[in-house]
Amino acid sequence: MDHLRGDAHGGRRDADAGLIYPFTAFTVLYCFLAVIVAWLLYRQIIRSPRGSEWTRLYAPARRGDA
Amino acid sequence: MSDLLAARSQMAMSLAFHIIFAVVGIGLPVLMVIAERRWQKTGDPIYLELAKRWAKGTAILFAVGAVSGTVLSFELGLLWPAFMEAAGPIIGMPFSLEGFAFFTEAIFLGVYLYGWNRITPRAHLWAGILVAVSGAASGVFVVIANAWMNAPTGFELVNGRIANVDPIAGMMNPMAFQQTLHMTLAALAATGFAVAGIHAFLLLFDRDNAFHRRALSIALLVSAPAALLQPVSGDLSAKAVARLQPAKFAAMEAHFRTGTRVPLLIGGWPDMDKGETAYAIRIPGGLSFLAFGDFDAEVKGLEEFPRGEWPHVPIVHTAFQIMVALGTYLVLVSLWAAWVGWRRRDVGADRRLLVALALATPMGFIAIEAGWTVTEVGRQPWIIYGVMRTADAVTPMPA
Amino acid sequence: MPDLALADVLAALLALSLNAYVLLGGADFGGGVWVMLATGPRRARQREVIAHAIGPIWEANHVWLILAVVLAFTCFAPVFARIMTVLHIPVSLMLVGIVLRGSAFTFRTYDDQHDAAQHRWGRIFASASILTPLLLGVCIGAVASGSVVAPTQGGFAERFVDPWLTPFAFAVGVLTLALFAFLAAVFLTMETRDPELVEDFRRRALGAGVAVFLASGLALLLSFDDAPLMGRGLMASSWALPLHLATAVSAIVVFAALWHRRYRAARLLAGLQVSCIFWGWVVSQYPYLVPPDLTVAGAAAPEITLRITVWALALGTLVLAPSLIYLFRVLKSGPAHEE
Repeated sequence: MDHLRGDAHGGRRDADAGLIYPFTAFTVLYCFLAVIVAWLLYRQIIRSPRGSEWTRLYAPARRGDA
Repeated sequence: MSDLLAARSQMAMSLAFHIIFAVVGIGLPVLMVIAERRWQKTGDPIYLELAKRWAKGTAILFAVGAVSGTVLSFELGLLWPAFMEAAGPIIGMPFSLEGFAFFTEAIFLGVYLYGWNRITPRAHLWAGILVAVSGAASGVFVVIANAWMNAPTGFELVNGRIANVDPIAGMMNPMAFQQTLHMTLAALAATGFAVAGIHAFLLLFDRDNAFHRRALSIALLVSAPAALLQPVSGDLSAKAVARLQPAKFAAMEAHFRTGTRVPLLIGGWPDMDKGETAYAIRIPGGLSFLAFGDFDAEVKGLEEFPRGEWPHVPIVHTAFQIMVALGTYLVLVSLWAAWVGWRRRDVGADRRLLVALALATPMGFIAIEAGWTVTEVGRQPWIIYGVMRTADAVTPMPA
Repeated sequence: MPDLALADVLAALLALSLNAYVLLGGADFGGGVWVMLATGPRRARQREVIAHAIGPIWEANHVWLILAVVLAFTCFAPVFARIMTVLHIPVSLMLVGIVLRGSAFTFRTYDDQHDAAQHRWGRIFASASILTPLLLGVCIGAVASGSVVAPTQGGFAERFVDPWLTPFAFAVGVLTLALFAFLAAVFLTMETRDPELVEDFRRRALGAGVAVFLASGLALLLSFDDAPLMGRGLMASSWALPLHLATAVSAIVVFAALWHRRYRAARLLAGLQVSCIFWGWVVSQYPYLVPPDLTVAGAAAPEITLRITVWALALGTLVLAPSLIYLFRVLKSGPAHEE
């Protein structure tokens, strides 16, 4: 099944190598995004409406306003 | 770290990240549509507020899911070019269909978010339903492609070359139904329990908050049925794995020696060198029954396979146990909530149930990550089961 | 053996979906450029118009890129594998740009409307909107120059850096960025009724048009040395002359239309002009997908895959076309943007 090996695979694949850089970069990026998203979800979605927001909810004249 | 390990880590990390957003993208629109429907029926503005907030949540998570999904579609080639070169013509089909489902979801999410005052309530509700349906469809298509890697069909090997491909047969592979069902239910249960758990937690401090109560009731309506159906779907999946990927099955169950009337192991630490699993609770005949419906059936152990074709047994076994344990907890909480609801007592007023639900918040997602670990690590050393090894698929960049 | 005609059809569809991405997704990136370059007393209002124009539609526009990628790995898998291997570095950087652009824009939309937060996300959004088209152009330039060859010999730099780290590839990157900024400015003249803002975007469109002219001149000059295949294709192919004429005519007419404030015509013609430039590249390297060795026919998947893909595309279009029309009608109707 030799052809199923990539076209340039002679080399050993166990040396220390460069693919660690994209791995690290994307890991850092995604950790950053995860924190921001969690924080945003709490502030914008999960937290109960407060004070003035409740009155807005129960003011039918403005229902549907954003 | 070797390039192969770095590539696998990057793929695993990208998938682990994206899967959360994909799963919420399937579950949250369902909650959103139910909230809107209730608002239309009752006129209670809290339901409208919930629908709008969940729509906003869907929009945020959909956007991050869209970009992290884009990264994945590129990473298939950035990290596994030889795999894509061989498999692209077969599994491109579900990915194309996924593209269209994703497109539909983007379009109707736009209609939903910006259409509140511009289209009829009926049309708006339907836009939401289409978001939910296309979200589920894109998940199904991607999982079909993954199922093909576990049970590759739709081609012939001629002199070791993939030939005579049939993409439709590839999509109809024998793992497709089991995996897509399991994943879809998991998405609904995990999202529902995360939402239910968060609002249950907040209700502990703010007992009469109508916002949290209504959110909790909708979330349970979606998550509990899904969690209760999940063991049935899990059993279907396990039976298919036992038949099609006996090495993965043996690793899941930490089962080394072929035999009949094989016990089911709960817990335990598998030792790959000794070929034994220590500290496990054994249920006689349990594994034979679960795999083949017969307490005396023969189950192949890992010893049947060359050592080079074993997945990492401790990881697969432990991940599997975590998934099953968390799933069991969610089933029990679902039953409890159903019991409380059926007795016409207020689910939001039962303090102990609220604590149990709050504990469940992350469990669905952890179970999904664990299940994903089982299916991916359990397939190793293969990227296409029995056909191509992961080590042969990794990019020649940069060595 | 694959049906040659069918492979050509799919290559054309692949190019078409990239063309759609360049026009629609490109304009969204260009919007980021103008967020970065917003100046003068109306800069906050400029940024608002841009955010409203992009908001409901950028994800749908982004799907054209995913479609192109999926078509590439389904129908021309060796092409996908080659590009992703040799251009691993610029493609990875481009992905970082895509992730940051999309998420920063979303956070900007849904975070609290404080100036500080808005400003921070706006900056990230704008920087990523500049980085991504540059790198996309670098990748296109590398492919066009025929240096994306099977990486069999040489060291790391020779195989994975030299193919794209060329003056020509970067000239194409700058050209791509200029084109996207030009498209965005022209489109934005139609996105607001405020005459002062329309004037702002008109001036920007004229300026970006000049930048496009200069960047394409530079890319053409460098192509003689760096991308001889392309230079020859641009000159020699039988399609070349009509395409060049169409590009030149539409470029002149866009300028005239902008000058006379005929924005509807300008929008249409700017789209035409950019498409002509894009197809000029496609035609110049036909029948090669990745010169000098991967051709449409040589890299095509088995016929059955191609046939089923065409059916899937037809089916998808049947669902998508009415949905997209519906989305645009909903967005155009009723009061101006709410959320």
